[in-house]
Parts: sequence; C-alpha cells; structure tokens
Amino acid sequence: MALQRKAEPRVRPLLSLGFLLTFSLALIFLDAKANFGPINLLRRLVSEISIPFESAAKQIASPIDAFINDWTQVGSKNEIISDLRKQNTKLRLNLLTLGNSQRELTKLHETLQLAGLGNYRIVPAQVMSIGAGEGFGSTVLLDVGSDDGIKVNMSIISGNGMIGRVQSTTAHTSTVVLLTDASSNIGARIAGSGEIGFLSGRGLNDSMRLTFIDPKAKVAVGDRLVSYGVSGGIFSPGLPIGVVTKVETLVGSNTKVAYVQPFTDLSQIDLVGVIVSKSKWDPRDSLLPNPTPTPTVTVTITPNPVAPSPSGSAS
Amino acid sequence: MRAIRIAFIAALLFFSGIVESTWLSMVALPGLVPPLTFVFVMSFAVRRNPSSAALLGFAAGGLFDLIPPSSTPLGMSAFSMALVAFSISLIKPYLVGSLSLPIFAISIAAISDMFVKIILASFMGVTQSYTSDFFVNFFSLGLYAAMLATFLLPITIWIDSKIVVKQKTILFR
Repeated sequence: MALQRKAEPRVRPLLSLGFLLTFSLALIFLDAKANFGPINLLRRLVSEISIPFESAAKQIASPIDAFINDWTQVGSKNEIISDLRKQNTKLRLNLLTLGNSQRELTKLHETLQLAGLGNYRIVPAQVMSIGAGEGFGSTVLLDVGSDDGIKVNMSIISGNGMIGRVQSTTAHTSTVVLLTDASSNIGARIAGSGEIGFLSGRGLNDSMRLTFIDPKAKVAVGDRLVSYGVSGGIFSPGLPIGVVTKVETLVGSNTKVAYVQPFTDLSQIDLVGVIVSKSKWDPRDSLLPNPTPTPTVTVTITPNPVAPSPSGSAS
Repeated sequence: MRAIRIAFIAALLFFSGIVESTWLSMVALPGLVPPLTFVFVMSFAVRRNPSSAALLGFAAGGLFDLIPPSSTPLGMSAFSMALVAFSISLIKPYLVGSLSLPIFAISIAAISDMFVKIILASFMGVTQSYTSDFFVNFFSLGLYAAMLATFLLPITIWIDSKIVVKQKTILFR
C-alpha cells in the first residue's frame, strides 16, 4: 500500500499525459483521415470568432507592415533608382551626342556642297575655341594646322559661305580671323554689278563695312557680296559673304560705303572647311545662295452674292 | 476563481495566437514566425505541475490548430505542445533560481516541439513543409523562442502571481 501511495503522484501525471496524447492522436486521425464533421464545425466556429479579431489586428498592423516592407526593400529600391538614374544620364548623353552629330553632319554636308560647287578641295576642321570675344576682335582656333596642309591666308568656309581667313598656323592648329574682326580687311565684289571694294570688320556684333573704290559705284540694299580674289593668289574668289543692309556716302570724303550682314552667324560656328586648293576658274556669282522668294499677296474682291437688306436684318 | 483563471489564460492564449498570425507574421525573417503562443504556454508550464502543464499545452495546441490560417490537422500541435509542456514541467526543480536556464529550456522546447511535429507529419506522409531548410528553421526557432522568453517569462510570472494573490485574498475573506 505504501509503495502504491508513493507511486501514485508520479503515475497520475503520466496517465493524464497519456490520455491527452492519445486524445490528440485520435483528433489527428479524425481530422486528417476521416474528415470528421464536428471537427470541421469546430474549426468553422473558431474561424468565425477569430477572423474579426484578425482583421482588426491586420488593419492596425498594415501601416507597420508597409513600413517594414519599405524598410526591407529600401536597398533594392535604391539600387533600382540608381540604375535607372545611370541609364537616364546615359540616354540623355546619347541623345545630346546624336543631336550634335546630326547638326554637325548637316553643317559638314552644307560645307562640302559649297566646296563641291566651287570645285574647291577642303580640309574639314572643328572650332576648338573662340578668342577675343571682347572689343572688336573675333578669332577662332581650329584643330587643323600646317601638318594638314593649312597655310596663312587660306579661306575658311561654312555651309553658307566665307567666314574668315587663316592668320597663323602651328603644326596642329590654326588661328582664323573672322570677317567681323577689326583687323580683317579683304577684297569683295558686289554680285551682278561687279563693283569692288574693301570689306572690313567692326566686331562680332556690328555689321561689316564695305568701302568702294569707285565713289560712284552702283549699290543698293539687298545686294549680295562675294569674295574678290586675284588669279594665282591664295585667297579664293567667288565665295558668298553677305548681304548689303545699308548704303551711305561719307560726307566730305566723297566715299561710298555699304554695311554688310554676313550669311553665316559667326557667333555659332563649330564645323568649318579650310580651302586648301581653289578652283582653276573663278566661280563668279554661281556659289551665291538662291534669294529667298518674297511672298506676294494677291487680294481678289469677290462680290457678295447675298446683298444685305436695307433694314439691316435678314428675312 | 479557477474558472476565471482558466478563462483569463484562454483569452491570453487566443489573443497571442491572433497576434502571432497577424503582427508577428510580418517579421518572419527566415520564413519562420516567432512562436509567441508557444513561449507563453511554456512560460506558464515552467511554473506548474506536469499534469496542468500538459493540459495547458494540449489546450493551447488545440487552439493553435484551429485558429486560421493554420493548416495543421487538429491535434497535431496539441500533441506536441502537451508533450513538451509536460517535459518542461518535469525539469522545473532544476530551473528554479536561474534566469538563463528557463530561457534556454524554452528555446530547446521550441526545437523539440518542431521535431515532434516533423515526426508526426512523417507518420502522416507530410514531410515537405517541415523538413525544408531543416537546420536553419531549428536555429531560427530556437533563437526566436529565447528572445521572446526573455520578455514573456517575467510577464507570465507577474500574471501568475497576480492570479494567485487574488485567489488567496478571496479565500481569506
């Protein structure tokens, strides 16, 4: 009896555990294998009770959940943003380069077209820098020099015509004096009439001044100018220069002057051509661009088929 | 008073089950949810006799099997938690007076619980979901359980003491 009493406290928990484990196994069997109806009912009941609590808890937790998601994905999101930024920069650069390339291609095409028309051989050159912007000076530095066959006084052209001449050269660069430079003074001829004079620059922002040799030269606003070269000289003749915008006679000196606007915007040059071999014949005025046609407006009055009534109201 | 105590613990376990399936599921770092309900049960179990602990484990496990989105058959968690709670209650005399040993015991209990579930699942022919990333899951579960026990053990001791004090007060009246 004493032994039984001592063993009882140890046996009882084991018995209760055994009962619980057996009951659990029975439940597992009933639920998993036999699909016991009352267990399904119990499961549904617990679901009905717990789902409102779970929904409430999830609603409370949703901002925190969103924060945790953002926080855990912040690294990958930053990587994606960084990659997209890099791609964006690359695409922008590509677009810019493409735009520049297309613009350069157009300018080169125009320059080559002009050179082809005049039968000139040119060396394409890129403007490396623009110097002496202040005052009356206007010069540019080209990326071609004596090694490329460039010599002093050679003519520089763009797609629209002459822009200057070579002032000095190094092995790989050339300094060009633009037509607008105060030191620039070249011979020029009025297309058609053939009146000649000296064209001098007055700075990048002012039009050039053409001083005629003949004080009685016939010149009018709108007349176009080409370069005047001497046969056998290095300077190319017949290159389009600009258009006359104003004519005046200097009082007291009996000298006629014309103010000329260049065909090329000299503040925006980047790709040019250096004429290294000029034509054997003078192209005269054939290189001048065709004049822009002025639109003519013709107004034709058509009689109104419906005459207004004397009272002013339509019936 | 006993009924109130049971109801209180049942409500506590129910809400811990809700919290586990909603809030703690958000921080399931290596794919495992921190076992809040389990740690609560074990924290109570280390202060009770083996029969009570087994019954508590059985009830909590049963509840855990029923609360959605549980996919385990009813009785599976009940079986494992009853067994583990009973076992942890048996070693109660060795845990008294230590701060770290109960935490360590609960951590081992969590791993044992999972192990028992794997054995049960293998008997039922379902092993895939339990045995993938076997060691990682064991380690994570043990770590989670230890971390939770650090906070929950003092709380359960406090709750237990409050219930007992109230009971005594009522009895003395």
